Amino acid sequence: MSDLKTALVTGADRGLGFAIAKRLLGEGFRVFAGKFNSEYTLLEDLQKDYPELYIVELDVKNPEHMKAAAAEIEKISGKLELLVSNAALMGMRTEKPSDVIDGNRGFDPELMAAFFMTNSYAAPMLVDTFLPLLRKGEMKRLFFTSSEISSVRLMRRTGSFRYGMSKTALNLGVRMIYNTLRPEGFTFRLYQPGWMKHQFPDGSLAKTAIVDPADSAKEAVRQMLEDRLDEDRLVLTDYLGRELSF
Amino acid sequence: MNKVYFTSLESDFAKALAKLFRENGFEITTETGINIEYFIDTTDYTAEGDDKAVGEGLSSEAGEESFRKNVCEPLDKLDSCFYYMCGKKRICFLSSRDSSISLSPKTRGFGHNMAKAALHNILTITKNGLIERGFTFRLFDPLTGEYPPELAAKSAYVYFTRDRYFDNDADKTREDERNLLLRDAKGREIPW
Repeated sequence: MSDLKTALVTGADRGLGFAIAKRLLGEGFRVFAGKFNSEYTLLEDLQKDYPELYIVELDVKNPEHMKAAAAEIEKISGKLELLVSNAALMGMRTEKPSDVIDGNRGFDPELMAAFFMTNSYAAPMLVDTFLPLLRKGEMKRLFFTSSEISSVRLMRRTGSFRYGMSKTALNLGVRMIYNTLRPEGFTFRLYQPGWMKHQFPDGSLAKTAIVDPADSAKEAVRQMLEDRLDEDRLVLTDYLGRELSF
Repeated sequence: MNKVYFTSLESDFAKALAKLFRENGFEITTETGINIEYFIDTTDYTAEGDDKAVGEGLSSEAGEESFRKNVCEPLDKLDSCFYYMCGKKRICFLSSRDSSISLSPKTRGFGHNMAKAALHNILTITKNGLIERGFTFRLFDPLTGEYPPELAAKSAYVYFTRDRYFDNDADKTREDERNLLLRDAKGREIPW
């Protein structure tokens, strides 16, 4: 085992997760990158330049995948400095609850549960599974990718309700983790990455949306590596460094 | 007679609230497919095993069960009721301070509390889409376990049945139904 700082990044196949993993490697971290989507081989390509990148199969809805990843990190690093909980199902802007009364059933329970388990409940499950390793790490920092759509106060939308509700639930889950682990010295980041351009399997980016994953990852990594003057407030910050209300 | 739909009448709070509605001339139903003025969800379900803090072995199954019971099932019932809502078209759900990101003191019950937080968001989005069609919304914390259910029901009855206006109802021309609030049984607004 070496003294390299170790991070786990979930949802690292593409987009923000991939860009965060790459940036952390550049910062000298050993990175365990959670892979879910076999269509994407960006991580395998990156591995050629960074021997400290380890790819782990990680469907965050699957507790067995989490345990296997924890066993591998235990074997190779014996500790974990930084957990980046980023994996998520994305929402469709056209899905509106108001569609229900227009004859389309909007609240599909199976889809709702899938969004909750992936985007929300996976976060406490990850912390629960990796906590013994995180307690051995020096940083004890937990980073969660949230969204501005999680803000009930700022909500003006009529669609994306599955994604929105899942991110509000995530924020509450992070609050509960904070209540347990902040007294132990753990520190927390809740991050709104902006409306990001979709990344295709060949690495190219869609023209729609406004933020490049690499740009958002730059700010995300700055926020995850810098200490704050006040770590005793749980705040949601965006890719421009602004604080958003819940 | 105006009808009030309850998702469940099992809890003491639900029974007390239903009694108040009956005393005020409403008919109570747990059946869908009929015209209703109020939809009231009284679900407050914590799955067995959904009582752990991080580090104690969280249960994926318990978390999902709490979510399905507190969110999926009530919303499925709401699905069935939307088309039949008339009058105030008022949709009322129970939540709690424990699901306030700003205030929650909780370390346990992830599935239950996160599910209720999810409701805050989804009801806001639903409200945004339906407010122009005359639907109105209420979120209420009955302070279960720390406040008598009969008193909580009285508070809920007033909160659910009154229309909301700015300026303490002094100016009836300025309705304030556009902002979804979470209020507790003591009348306090709980921040998100």
